[in-house]
Amino acid sequence: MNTNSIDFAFLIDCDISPLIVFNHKGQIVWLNESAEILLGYADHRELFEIALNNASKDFGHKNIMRELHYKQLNFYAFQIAYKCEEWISIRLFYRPRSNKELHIDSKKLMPTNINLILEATISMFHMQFKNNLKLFVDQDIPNISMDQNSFSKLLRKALNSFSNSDNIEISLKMTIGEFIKIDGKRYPILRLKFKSNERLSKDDKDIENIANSIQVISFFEEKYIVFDIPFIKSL
Amino acid sequence: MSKIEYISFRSPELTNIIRGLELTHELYVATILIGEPYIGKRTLIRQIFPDIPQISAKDKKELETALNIEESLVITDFEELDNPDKLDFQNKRVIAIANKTISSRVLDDKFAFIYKVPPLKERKSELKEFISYFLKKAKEDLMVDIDITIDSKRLDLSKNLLSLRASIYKEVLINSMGFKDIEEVLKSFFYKSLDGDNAYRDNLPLFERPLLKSGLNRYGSQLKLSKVLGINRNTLRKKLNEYQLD
Repeated sequence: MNTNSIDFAFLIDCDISPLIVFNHKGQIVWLNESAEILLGYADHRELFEIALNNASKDFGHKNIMRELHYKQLNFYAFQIAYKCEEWISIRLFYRPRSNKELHIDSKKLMPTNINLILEATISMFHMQFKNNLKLFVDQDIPNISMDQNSFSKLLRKALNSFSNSDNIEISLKMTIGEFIKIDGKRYPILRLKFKSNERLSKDDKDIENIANSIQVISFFEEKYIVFDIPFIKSL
Repeated sequence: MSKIEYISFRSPELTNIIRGLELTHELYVATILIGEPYIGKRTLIRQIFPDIPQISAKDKKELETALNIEESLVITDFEELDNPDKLDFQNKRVIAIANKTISSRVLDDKFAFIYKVPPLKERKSELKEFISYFLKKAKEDLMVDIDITIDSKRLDLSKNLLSLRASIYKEVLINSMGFKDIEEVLKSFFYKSLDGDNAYRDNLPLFERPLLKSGLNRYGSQLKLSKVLGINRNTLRKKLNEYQLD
């Protein structure tokens, strides 16, 4: 078979490892789909710096075994490659997930308007705290199946961790190309993000435990909390 | 003490609670309302969830049975439970009402929505509505047909709606009684309390003190009051001194 018919750009584009090619000014000249997701969490200037600082002395490529973490994305190694002065690439390798397999008890799930729970939680929060709050949600998100009581508890505790914050931003949107696997079945991810200038982290462990109990993946940072919620229409 | 069947008015202080309850009306979540007794918690819940059965946590066995068979339940007197951890609210619409503070661990563990209902004294706009509602009701019940202005400073809010209602009824009675009614009140009082060996002097202040105090308030000067009362100015001064009203 003639290898000319193989579309290598296509193969790299759909590869799971993020690949970004920069020009000498640090501008992105090409990136694959996986890198698009990465750039939702990482700053491209920081990645360019890593590429420059770790490039081999001569043209070629160099693999560096070093952990990199961008929010919930964890990498165990990366590769820097360049063949001329015009461009340099960085390719990152995902650390295999050691997450326990997620299971769900279908009896606990009820069709739910997630925006309604969010609105009720905010209304309750505003009784106690007068913080400015901006809400960016998609009102057309269809009902999803969830444990309503535990999810409401999760939101209450998460929002309370921002009780000292001046401005709180809450966003809820469907992600593209990301999934949560539960009982062998893949579910799209609905991403709920609480963000502010500061937050209290003393209840993070409790929040994480509640999230784990309802198959929601949680990420905690100094200024925000992210919940990846499995978009389960029906089991 | 009898249960109070009151209407409730929407005040800014309750807006968020009502909004939250209405939003979660159809959800299978556990909610709790905490606040002093007689602040309208039960009335509020009955208005928003009229068809959900209510059960008191004082009857533990009945509560356990109800939780097993009902998918929606209002639990009153939640503070009476010794061991709330045992209750399973999974996939149930539970609305609990507590008159006292509940441990934060239990609240956190059991409830998704926790509302603290403010006492009546903190709900200024609603208070006016309640006063006018109870005044109308008291006038109807006591068949009083005169204009009565209620001095809100004299109202008792120590037991919220319960004491407010009682103090308004008392105000209506006080304002509507004539000579005959007061005479009847005194007759009844003396009949029950007259005792000892100096009852005349002991009971005289009951008549003299309010007479002198109100007279002074109304007429301002002792000279004018002595004329109205038809007594000597020196006698009046002596009496005022005796009751420490000078």
